[in-house]
Amino acid sequence: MPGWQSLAQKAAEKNIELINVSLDFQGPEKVIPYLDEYGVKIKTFIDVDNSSGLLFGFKVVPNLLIFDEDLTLKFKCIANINILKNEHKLSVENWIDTGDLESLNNINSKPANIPAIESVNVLREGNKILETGQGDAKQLLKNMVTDDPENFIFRKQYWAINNPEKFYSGKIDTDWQRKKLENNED
Amino acid sequence: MLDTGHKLEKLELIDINGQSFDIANYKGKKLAIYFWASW
Repeated sequence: MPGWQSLAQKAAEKNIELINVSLDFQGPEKVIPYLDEYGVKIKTFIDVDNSSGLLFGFKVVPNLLIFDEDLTLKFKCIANINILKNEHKLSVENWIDTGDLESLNNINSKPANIPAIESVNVLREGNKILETGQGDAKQLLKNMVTDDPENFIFRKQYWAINNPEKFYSGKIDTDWQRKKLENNED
Repeated sequence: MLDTGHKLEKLELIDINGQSFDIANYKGKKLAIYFWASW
């Protein structure tokens, strides 16, 4: 995130917009503390119902998409993009400076993987549950993980809502996540 | 699914104030979107 932040200033000088989209079913309440902690000033939007995952075909993050002025999609990298990696940062910088996507195209994207169409509506039901307090959002997410076990956007959010202390109390406990995966636990 | 070479017509998200925003409003500028998560 700090790496992306530093590119935004350079991009703004070239009239290019760099924005963040956070995939978070639980909404701004969970995203804002992270932005504050890391001093993120770039425009950030939140996808609460996985519309972007359905539209662009991804079940993981982070991902990078680049559009032309008429919103034609010119570049899509699913996972495998790490803006903290110097090589990747330089490739994005090169695009900002020259418009050339060649070095970005050398990053191996994972293949597109489209979630079920109905997943967006299910998550919207979940958004209403969170808003009204009526219903079981945890069970809803559990069902989504059962139906789509390879969808790490659903899986990690299921973990986060059930184990907030592993996600929202300072550093994210990635060892805990790794053990869950190794033990094939939901 | 939207793939390279195709135009984004609409993508409704929310901003950090909870207000709805269509990413298509960025038409007219080159745009890079980094998708990530706080989890």
